[in-house]
Formats: sequence, structure tokens, C-alpha cells
Amino acid sequence: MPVEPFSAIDVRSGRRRVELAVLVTVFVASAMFALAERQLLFAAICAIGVIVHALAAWRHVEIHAHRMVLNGSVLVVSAVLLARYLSSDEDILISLGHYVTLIQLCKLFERKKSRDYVQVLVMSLLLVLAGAMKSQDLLFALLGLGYLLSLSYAAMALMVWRSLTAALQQETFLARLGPGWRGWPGRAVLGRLGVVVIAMIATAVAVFLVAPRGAGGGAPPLRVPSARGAGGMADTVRLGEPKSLYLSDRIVLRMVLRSPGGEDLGPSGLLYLRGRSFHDYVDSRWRTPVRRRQHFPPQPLADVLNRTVRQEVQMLPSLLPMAFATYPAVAVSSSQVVVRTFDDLEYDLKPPQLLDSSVRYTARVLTGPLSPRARAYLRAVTPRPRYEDLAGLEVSPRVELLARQWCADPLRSRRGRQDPGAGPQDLAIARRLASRLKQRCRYTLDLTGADPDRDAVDDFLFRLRAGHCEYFASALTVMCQALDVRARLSTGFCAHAYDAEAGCYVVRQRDAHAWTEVYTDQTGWVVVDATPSGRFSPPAGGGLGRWWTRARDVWWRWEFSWHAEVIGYDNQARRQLGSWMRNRAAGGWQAVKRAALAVFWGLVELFARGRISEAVVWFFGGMAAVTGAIAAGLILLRFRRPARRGWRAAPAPKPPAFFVHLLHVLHRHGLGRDPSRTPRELARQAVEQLHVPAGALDEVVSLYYRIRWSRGSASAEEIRAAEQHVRRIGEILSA
Amino acid sequence: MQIALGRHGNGSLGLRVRAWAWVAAGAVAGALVAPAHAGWMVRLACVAGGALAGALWVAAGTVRLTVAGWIFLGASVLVAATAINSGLPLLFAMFGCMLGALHVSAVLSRRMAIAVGVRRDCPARCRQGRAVAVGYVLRSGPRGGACLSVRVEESGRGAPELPPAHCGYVPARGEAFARTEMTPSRRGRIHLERLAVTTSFPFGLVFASRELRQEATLVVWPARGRLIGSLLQKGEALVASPSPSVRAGGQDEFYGLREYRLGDSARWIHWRRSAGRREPVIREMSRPRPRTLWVVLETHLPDSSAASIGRRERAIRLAGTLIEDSLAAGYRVGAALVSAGRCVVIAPADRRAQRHRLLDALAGVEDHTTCHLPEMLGRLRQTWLRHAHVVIIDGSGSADALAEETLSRLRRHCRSLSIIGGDRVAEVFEDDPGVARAEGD
Repeated sequence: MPVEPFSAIDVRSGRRRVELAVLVTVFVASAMFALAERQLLFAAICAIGVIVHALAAWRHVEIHAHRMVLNGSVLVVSAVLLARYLSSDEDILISLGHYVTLIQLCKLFERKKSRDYVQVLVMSLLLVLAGAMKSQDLLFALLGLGYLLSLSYAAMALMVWRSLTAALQQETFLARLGPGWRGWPGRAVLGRLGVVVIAMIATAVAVFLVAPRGAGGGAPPLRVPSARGAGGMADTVRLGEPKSLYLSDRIVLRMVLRSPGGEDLGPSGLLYLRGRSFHDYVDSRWRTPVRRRQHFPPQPLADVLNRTVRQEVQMLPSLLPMAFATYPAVAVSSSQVVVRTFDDLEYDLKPPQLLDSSVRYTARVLTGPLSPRARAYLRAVTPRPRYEDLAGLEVSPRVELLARQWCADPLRSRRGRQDPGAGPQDLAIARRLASRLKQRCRYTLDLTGADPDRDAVDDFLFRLRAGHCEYFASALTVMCQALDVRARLSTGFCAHAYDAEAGCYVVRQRDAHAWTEVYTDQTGWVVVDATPSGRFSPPAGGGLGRWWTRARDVWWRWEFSWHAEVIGYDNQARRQLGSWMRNRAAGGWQAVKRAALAVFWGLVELFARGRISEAVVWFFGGMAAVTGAIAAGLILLRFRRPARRGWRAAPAPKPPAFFVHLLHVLHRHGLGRDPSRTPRELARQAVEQLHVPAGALDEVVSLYYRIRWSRGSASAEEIRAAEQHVRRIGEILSA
Repeated sequence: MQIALGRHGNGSLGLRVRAWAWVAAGAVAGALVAPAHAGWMVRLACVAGGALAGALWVAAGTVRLTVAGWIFLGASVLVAATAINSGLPLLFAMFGCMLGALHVSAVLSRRMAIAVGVRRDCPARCRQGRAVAVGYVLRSGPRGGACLSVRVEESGRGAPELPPAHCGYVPARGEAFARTEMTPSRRGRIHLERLAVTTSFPFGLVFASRELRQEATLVVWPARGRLIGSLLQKGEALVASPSPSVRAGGQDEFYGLREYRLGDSARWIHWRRSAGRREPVIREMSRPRPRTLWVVLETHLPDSSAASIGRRERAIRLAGTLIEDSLAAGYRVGAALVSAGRCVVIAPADRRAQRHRLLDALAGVEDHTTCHLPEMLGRLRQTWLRHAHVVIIDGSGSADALAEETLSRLRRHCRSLSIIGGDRVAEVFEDDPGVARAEGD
């Protein structure tokens, strides 16, 4: 591969800087696309090419391949990518991105002129545009900011380089450039870069806030997110797998509680946000029914709705299609997504289009002691669980025996009833079991010792005696069901952290939880949590680990805010912002009008009655402050003015008075000063023609030279002596 | 030649005042067209819209999109359409960035074009077929900041095809230089009327230009060829001086000795002769007396064919070469020709000013019908012709028709008379090969 050094003009005009800037831009663009498509191969190939070129450019060398080789490479790349696209179901945007990346790489190995650099930059822009259509992540946006910087710098450097090259091509002797040659204007370019990038970002923000959002349509359907790793957010709960879990601090959901009147309720203690509930435990696994039945419950009566608490939820789209709310949520509504209701007041959210922003919905939840109408409504929409449902339960005899041992007293009090379930004793049994479980087992996320061949609950209770919330909840639910207590396993989040600054509950991924719900006729489904307390404390660690955890926490907080506030900015939010600004502006205008009226009437009162009102005092005080500020600014400008005009030639200093006097004396006697004659020559001529004493004249001229040219200061005595000499010369000449 | 400008910034204050006037006019118009019953926000929006329209109108005068800018604008529209269609928030942000790039390009480039002041720095005279450098001194105004990637080119009617001069960087409140070269293909006068300062910094999307009025004239002398043979004879010694003549290539010879006088340079003391005397003696040199040469140039064209024009131009180049060679050889040269539409008789003289005068007149020779060769010869005084060589260069072939009486009068008064015309030009004059090739093309 030919290696060719830069020409003298290229070296002088700073081609290396341009090349490095372009290479950085190309690399950032390919990294952004790789982030968007979640594939590193093409970015790695591009990075190798960029590094090779950067090293070469650093040494003022250009690496280029033969044109035939490049053309052949382009053809091969085109053919391979076309074949790959046709033979797979890859997205066309991804294929085009790969194509542009490789063409860009080929272009880098060409002998580059300014036009080629422009083409490379344009291709990088296309790559970023394609990436922006695939990803809306915060990291992508931050990289985009870096790309904006590097692209702007590269484009500006390219412009300057072209200009410098053209200027240098006019020069005959590059080695002896004149004083006008100033080299690479690095500081000036960087200074302009700041202005340019700020202006672009400001315009982008303005456009982002103002531009209307369309209804979408035609976009690809939602990519099924990898929500399965979100800690229990799955259609099934699988136990007994030997593994170690990691629950991150990533914020996944925020929730504001509002009273029926719309006021913010603030922190309301521990909230169990239910997503799914499971009834059937088979083979160490909790399963939902194969066909979930969509339910169309009647609208709750107005007085029921008016007593509900509104839970306004923003959550990551990766949690879809579940909706999370405390039980019972009698209504869920959203402007973004379609809400479907299933049995047991479970809700699914179905987005109509590709949705990368946060999902917002409002759940209306019944809390506290239920009114008779609310209880009636709930009975109507959620049928009482049947006792026969528990008949097919497969429970290990040891588990049932253990449950009976733990609950001997409550069971005794329940004995003899026809329908043994749905009474208050069931709740007592469940609570007894929960407390015993907390005493017997400990909480852990390390389940590497689990035996997949054994029943998970049996293994948990009799061998491991440790597990996470799903184990505790499963054991409790299974034991309850073994004792004919209507219980179910629910998964979701346990919201406990209230962000006072943001005024909302903050739910993280590690808040994913599983618990048991027990049904009684009097209370409906009641949460019974068997998991030991203390599991919500952040993971302990020190030093670097703690900092790392904290940094990760901050990052996830930003990420959630990014999705919630930026990506989720829609027409509704735009209208809200507009109305807020309009209200603020109207309020400001009203305030100005009020103040003007107050000042006016204050002045009227001042002139009419001689009373000084507070408004007048403020008015005159403000006027004085503004006037003072303007005066100070003018004074500052006055002082700065000479510095601004520094490029102008400084005027010649005024000659000292004794020398001016000497020139007048000599001029009066016919010896004018010729500009081509120096003061010493003038003095010599005066001595020859006018017979002036040479010593005195020499002293005067020497002092003038010292003051004028040597930047020396003369003492008052010396100046006085020179003036006396001049006076004496004048007298001699007059005589 | 330097053309001094009145104020630094070359009228940028006027531009600013005009711009603000347009903005104010737009705002007033917006206020007038606002509905009478509208709220204050609508009124404010109308005023702001009017001001914006005024600003755009002002900007449109100095700013326009380049080809790349049009393509970029089209791409921006596509991105906007995609963003609206897909609702992807980052595409909205990218569309905003692209709009911002266009906007900031327009503002920055216009600001730079206004801020930079230019002074042309070029020679007053140049020669046909020889490259001449035209320099520009660029100065950034006190509030303009640094200006980057500035291009200066000549504009206006009849502007020469001068490649633009580039300057990569004009520092804030500082100076920078840009230069370009041109090779005039024809003699004459090039009138430089206006300068256009242009820049498309920072992205090359928007092109801002500003014209400055700076008038200058560049006189293009005819190309210098080579005289074949000796048209000119040697001069004769007339005066003596203790020092040889200043002109190089003279024929100064030893004339004699004389006694030293106060003021003589010690350099010319003849030390060997002075050794035997009581006072020093000094050498005196003879200097050739400058002869007088009259160049009479007839440029009347019998027809406007290319051959006639070429013959005339060649005659002019021969005259120019003859004048320059003669002046270099110490002749006093005068000329009679038709320049700038009138018959011009330039009295004989030597020195550099005479060379400029004669060659400037040659640069201004045009086709004419006013003054013919006999009339030009009639304008030459007898006293001027005494001891003079007269060379009549005939570019039109009319010398053959000269009356014998005229010729005999000339021969009677002058020392020698040569008539060069028609095919004889090729015998005595070898043209500049570059210019001859260009004219042949």
C-alpha cells in the first residue's frame, strides 16, 4: 500500500489537523451506529482503519490504495451486503448503515482532497441519521453531542485548510513566508466552534420544543424489550434454577400519587405495585392461564371513581406490556397506549407504534376501607376464587405437614366450617406462616446451590433455607393453598423510596418483588409479604465499589429522566409547556401593568398631595440603579476604548517644552528645522552659523534624546537646567 | 499602489445602519398589519415577524446558499419530514441542529464579511504577458473578532479575470495579507472598481459577500521584445565629470586630470599623479552625450481585420522596446503618437519619468481616424529634430504614401531617419514569444 508524505503546502496548511478531526468524526459516527444496532463488528473494523490513518497523519504521511483496488473493494462490499440483505431479514436501515460504514472506510484509503473529506463527513452524517432512527438512548444522544462537536470542528478546519492551501499555492517561496503568514488559527477556530455549537444546540432545543409531533403510523411495531431480566417481570415465575441474581439500581418507574381532588399526596408508605398474579404452581413454576381472558368490566359508578387515588405512572417501555398499580385499580387510562383489562383487574398496555419514550398512564386505585358501593363493584368485576380451584394442587407432603405444624392453632379455630376458606382465620394462617418463614429462612440472591431436580419450595424450606422474594412468596402461597387458604402469588414492584425533590415515588429495578395475596370475603385480596425486611437496603460495599454503584445510580437516574422528559415529550407536553409560558408571560405583563399603574398613581399623589408612596420609591430607586449601571458601563467602555483600537499606530509623543522652545528660538533667527535633519545636525548647524555656545546646546539636545528615545526619565532639575540653557541661547542670539 | 480608505471597516457602519433600518421598518409594518382587536401577544408576534422579515431581507442581500447549502437544506427538509412521520425525538433534534447550522452559517459568514476591511495593494503598472502580483491587506474590525477563510476578488463591470486571493485567517483587530497573480494578455488600462469580500465559513453552506468600492487603474505596458541589429548608434562625448555616470553600461572614458577642488570625492584622486605635485589632482571622465530619438508611431487601422490589429500591436511593442532600449542606452527619447484618442507629442527627455510617460502613452494607443502620420510629423518642431534620430514605425502601412516633401524636410532637419513598417518589422524586431503565441491563438 503506497505511503506518501504530505506536500510542503499540506504540512504548512495544517492538513494533519483536518485529517485527525475527520477521523475522529468518522469514528464517533460509526460508534454511534454500532450503539444503535448493538453490534460492534463494523465499528471495530472502522476503528482499525481510523487508527491506521491517524497514526499516518500524525507523521504527516498519507496511506492510500490504488484506485483499482478501491473500486474493486467497493464492488465487493456492495455485492456482499446486497447478498446478505437478500438472504436475511435484516432491517434495511442496518444494511445501509453497514454499507455506508464500509464505503467510508474505502474512502479513507483513497488519495484525499478536500472534496473527499467532505464526502466522508457527509457519509458519517448519514450514518448518524440512520442510528438516530434506530436508537433514542441517552448514551446515543451524548455521543451525538460529541459527534456534533467533532463534525463542526472538522468542517470548520476543512474550510480553513482549503483557504490556507489556496493562499499557499499563490506563494512562490514556501520556506520564506512573509510576516503576514500566521499559520494555523487554532484558537480562532476553537472560539468559533463554541459559538457554532451553542447556536446549533439552541436551535435544536427550540425546534425540539416547538415542532409538532405527528400521529406516527407506518412505523415498525414495538421491539419486544428484554424486560424478562427486569426481576420477576415475566409471564411465568420459574424457581429452582441454580444462579446468582443481580438487581440493579436502574430507575424503571416513577409514580405520583394524587388525591381525588388532584393534590399531591406525598409519601404514603410502602406500596405494592402489582403487575401479574399467579395461581397455579406446577413443577417449580408459577404459570398464568394459557389463555388469559380479556375482560370488559362495567364502568365504576361516579362516587366510586371519585374516591379513588390517582397513580400517575411513568415507566420505561422495557416493562411493557404490564401496567403496575396497587390493587385494586378500577381504571387505567393512557393517551399513549391502548389499555386492555383482564381478569383480576390486571391491565396490559399495548403501544400503537414504535415507542422508545417512557410510557405514561394513570391508574385509579381504591385504597383504605372500601365503601359498600366499592365493595359491591369489586365483587361484580372480580369473582370470588372458587375453593375447587385448589383441588388439583400438587404440594409436597413435607411442605403441607410443616404448614400444619406451624398453624396448628389457627387451623383448630377454623375446623368444622363448611367452606373453610375466605374467613378471617385465613388471614391469620397466612400471617402465621409468613412470620415463621421469616424466622426459618434468610434472604439471599445467591441461589447457585439450588437443585433443579427437586421441588423448589421443598428445596427452599428443607435444604437451602435461603432464597429471594419469589421463594418466600412461593413457599407462603403454596403452604396457604395446602391449608385451603385462597392465596395467589403476585409480582410487581415494591415502591418504598420517595423522592421529595421530584415529588414522586422512585422505583428501581432492584425493587422488583414477589409477594402473596390472601383472599377473605371481608377484605378481598390482602397482601401478605413473607420476605424478611431489610432487602431494600442498597448493596453494601466500600471504596471504589460504592463510588461505582453511586455513579451507576446517577447514570440510571439520568437515563430515566431522559426517557421520561425528553424522549417522552409529545404534543400534550408541548401544549402544557406552551400554556405554562403563556401564563407566565401574561402574569408578567399583568405585573408590569400593575407596577406602571402604581407608579403612575404614586406620582399623581406625589404631585397632588406631596405623599411619597412605596411604588414611587421603588421606581426612582430602580431608575437610579439603571442609570448608574449605564453610566458605569459607559465609563468602562471609555476605559476599554484604547485597547480596542490597539491596532492603530500610537501617536508620536509630544516633545518636551524646552526643546520646542529651542526650536522656536532657532527658527526666529533663521534656522528652521528641516525634517531630514536630526536634532544633533541642527545643533551643529546652529553652532556653525549662529555661533551658539556648543556646550549648552549639546546638553539640551542630549537631554531631549534621552527623554525621546531612551525612554529615560529626566529629573526636574535637569529639565530646569535645560530650560535655562535655552533661555540663555535666546538671549545670546537676541543680543 | 495603495488606495487609502477613509474609515476602517469600509463602510460597515453604513451597512449596520441600513440593516437596522430594515429591521425597524419590518417591525413597524408588522405592527400596522396586526389586527386591531388582537391581543397583545398577537401584536407582539406580528411585530417580531415583521422584524424577522426585515432581517431576512437584509441578509438576503449579502447572504446566499451555496450548492452544498441547497443540498443540505433539502436534506434537512427530508429529516424533518421523517421526524414528523416517525415521531422520533432525536430526529427532531437533528433537524434542529441542521437548521441551526444553516442559521449560524448565515450569521457568522455575514458578520465576517462585514467586519473585514480590505485595502488593495497592487502596482500601478505592469507589462503585457508578465505576471503581476496583486496584494490585499485585510483588517478585522474592532468588534468583528477573527475572520476565517476569507476570499477577495475583483468585481464590478469589466473586472479582469483575476483569480481570487485567499486568506485563511485574519486575527481580531489585526491584519493579514492575501495575494493573487494575473498575467495581462493585452496592453491597455485595467480599471479596478470594486472588491468583493466573500466567505463561506464555517460550513461552506452559506456564502456571504460584500462589495467595496476601491478604484484603481493598472496600466499594462506593451510586451517587451528584442531588437535585432543596431537601430541606435553610439553617442558622442560632450561633458566631463570627476565621476562616471550613474547609469550602468555607459561608455565613460578617461578625459584628463585637473586640480582637486573642495567637495570632490577623494575616491577620484589620481594618487600616482598627485604624488609628484603639491596638491592632489583628480581624474575626469568623459560621458557620452545623450542623443535624441524620436519615435513616431502610426496606428491608424485601414480595416478592422485581425491581421491589421495584430500588425498594429506588433508595431506598438516594437515602439515600446525601442523606447526602453534607447533610454537604457542614454538617449533622450520623444514620441509622437495617438493615445487616448488624440495626437500626443511627448518632448524628448531621459530619466525614469519619461519612460513611464512614453510607455503609458503606448498603453493607451487606440484605433483612431483623427490624426494621421503627416499631421503627426508636422507637429514635430524643427528644433526638436536637430541632431535627432527619427524612427517612424508604421503599423498601418500608410508610410508608403508619405509625400517626398515631408520626407525631405525630415531628412534635412534630423540626423537620421528610419521608417519601419510592413515586413521590415520582422527584420528588426523579435516579439515576446509568449505574447506572440497568445495573439496567434
